[in-house]
Amino acid sequence: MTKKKMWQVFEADGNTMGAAAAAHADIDVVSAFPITPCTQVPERIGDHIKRKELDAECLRMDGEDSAGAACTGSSLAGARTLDATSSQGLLFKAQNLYCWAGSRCPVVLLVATRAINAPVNIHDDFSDVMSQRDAGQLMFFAKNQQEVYDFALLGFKIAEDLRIQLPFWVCYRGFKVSHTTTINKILSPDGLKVFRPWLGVYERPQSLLDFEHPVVAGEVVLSEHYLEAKFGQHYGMRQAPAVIKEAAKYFSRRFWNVYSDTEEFMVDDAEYVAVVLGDDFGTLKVAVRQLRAQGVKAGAIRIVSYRPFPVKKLQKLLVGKKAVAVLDQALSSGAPSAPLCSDVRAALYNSVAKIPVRGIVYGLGGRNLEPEEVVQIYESLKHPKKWLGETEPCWIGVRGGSDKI
Amino acid sequence: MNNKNFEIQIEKGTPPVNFRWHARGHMGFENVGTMIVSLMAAKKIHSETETSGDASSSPLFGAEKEGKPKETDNTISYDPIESFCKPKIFDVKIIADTTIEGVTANTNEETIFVVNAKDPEEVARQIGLGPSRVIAVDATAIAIAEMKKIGSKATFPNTAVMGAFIHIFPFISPEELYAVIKQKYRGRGEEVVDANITCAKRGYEEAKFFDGRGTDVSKAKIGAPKLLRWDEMLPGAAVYATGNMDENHTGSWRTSRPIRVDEMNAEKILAGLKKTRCTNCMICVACCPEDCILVENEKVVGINLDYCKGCGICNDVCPFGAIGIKPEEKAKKDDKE
Repeated sequence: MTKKKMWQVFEADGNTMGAAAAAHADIDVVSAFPITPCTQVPERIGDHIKRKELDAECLRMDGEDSAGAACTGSSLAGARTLDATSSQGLLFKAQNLYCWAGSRCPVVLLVATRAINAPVNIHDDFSDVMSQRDAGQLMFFAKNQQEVYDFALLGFKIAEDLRIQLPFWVCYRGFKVSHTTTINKILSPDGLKVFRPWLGVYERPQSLLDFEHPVVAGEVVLSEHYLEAKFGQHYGMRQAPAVIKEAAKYFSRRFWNVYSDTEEFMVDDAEYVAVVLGDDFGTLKVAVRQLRAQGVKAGAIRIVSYRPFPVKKLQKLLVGKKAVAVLDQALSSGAPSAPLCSDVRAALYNSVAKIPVRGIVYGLGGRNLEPEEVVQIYESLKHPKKWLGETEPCWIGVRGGSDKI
Repeated sequence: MNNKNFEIQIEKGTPPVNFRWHARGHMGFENVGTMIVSLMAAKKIHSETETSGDASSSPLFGAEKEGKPKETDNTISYDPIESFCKPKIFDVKIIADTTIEGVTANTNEETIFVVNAKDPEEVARQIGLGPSRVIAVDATAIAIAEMKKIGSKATFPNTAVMGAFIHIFPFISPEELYAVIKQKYRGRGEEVVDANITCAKRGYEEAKFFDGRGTDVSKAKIGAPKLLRWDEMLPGAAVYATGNMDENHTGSWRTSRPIRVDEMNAEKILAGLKKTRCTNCMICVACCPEDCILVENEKVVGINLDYCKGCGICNDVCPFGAIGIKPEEKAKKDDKE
């Protein structure tokens, strides 16, 4: 008997992969508002519904804020809910993002990341997701179209786990991932027969539609109980690493390999390591190969699970390294470091080894990161004394900029 | 009158004195906290080497509604106030309306109560303030009398209560209080200023003292609400217990009460002297925001006073004049009779 093939080839861009994941996870509600560059997600889900491949409610809302509120409602009712947004839309949704986490709504949100106005820009950077990173959700950064699909599928499994019940974001760069078509794997009908029972049906214990056990959600909780409510929410995040590990392990064994905390490239024997989010890991790999050819021991790390942040794993990976560069495609003006760099530094600060960490800001508004620039960054790591006095991140690629790499 | 036992001094190095005003939304107590701060600001000494006398005022916020019990906290201190946290025990509690519930929370035997009531001993027994020190002043009566003189129907007892209150702080003279009142009410005309100053003066002079320490006046037992551990709460702070308003009788916010005219005239109607007004048109049922009109067999049979907040909408919408409005205090008195 031949082994059944769990997957089939599918040529698609990031948004289409996200929509395919939604269909394969058998969502109940999609509530979305069109915004570049995530518009195709609800469009493609609409196609799935039209072709009767998916039985879901497609809510056409009048704005991002109401789309977010609709997600709160449908998730509280116990419906498997998906949303997609970008940039300004994410900001307009902001109050709902906190509401999802606080009300324990496991909404999966696909974010095709994009720069924030002004000036108006539709291209990629992580300013939008980083601005809302403390809303209480799990955040996974996909490096390609395949991972958008993988993480969205896993997202439902992880977020809806009763130990967690928190929103799950899949962040992928606008256009570079969302609109680039590649050859990917999706679950075959046979694969779905295995996947669907494992994923199960979302059964919210406190469903608003359970008329036998009426429940009030989103009520006033003042100082007597707010701290406890927030700790309950936070405890969900504390449970997340174990749940993610379980889910990723099953998925990797049964279907194909998925990353669940970090991805490394030539880190074991490396002396100089760069850390990045998302698909620029590929750019780093090009530079690392060049440097290795010249005898420079370079390595690269990609943070896959930004929330929960893989603190222990990162400490383990970076112990004994001579210097680390953290590349941020987002900004925190006036701060000693940009968001990702802050987290890496904080994770390392209380570990045994004191490692010099340099913060780099690059590529805001979709400017390409060139491998030559990455090589320069690695070269600068050889001489930490030159940059240890920096009080803020070094900007690269600015025409006329005075920051010295 | 010897009231040394009722004094609190503030000195360098002593802890700040905390007090809480219990009043309702319509009683003019929104301003007392800031007036106390103004009082202390006038006394504050700034010099190169020393700053003495500090005060703060913070109102507590929740639901907003006329008649809803509202609290304002004050702190005064010799040394600068550095913490704005709420104290566990208040040194002074001012009760502007004896019908407010929970006034003895966060107090101990050293707490001084200033109450808007005629007799300090009686009110201590009535609302369970003992064994404590109680200062009573019939502030509402004073306010009504003084305001009537200037042709106003206002009944705000705030200034008279403040007059009695400053007995506690010997370093605040009545004249200083009058100055602050003048400052506060100056926009409302000389008449109002003078009437309020007279209220404060009468409050100061007519205050009565009762030292209940060592007596067996029983203290009201306040059931502390059960506070949940984080893992006892449902995810997202959801609540299964719909109908837990059973424990929270918002009817206590009421300052006026709807009365069913037919009920009042029941005997006369039976005797055929008056006609029934209510036609059971159900307009009041549809309009009551709190769903307090009780209906049985398609007939209006009563009003749920546990939750009626006395908004008077039923009175407004009734086309037949079947619902009247009575001041709550009067209604309570009538109930007793």
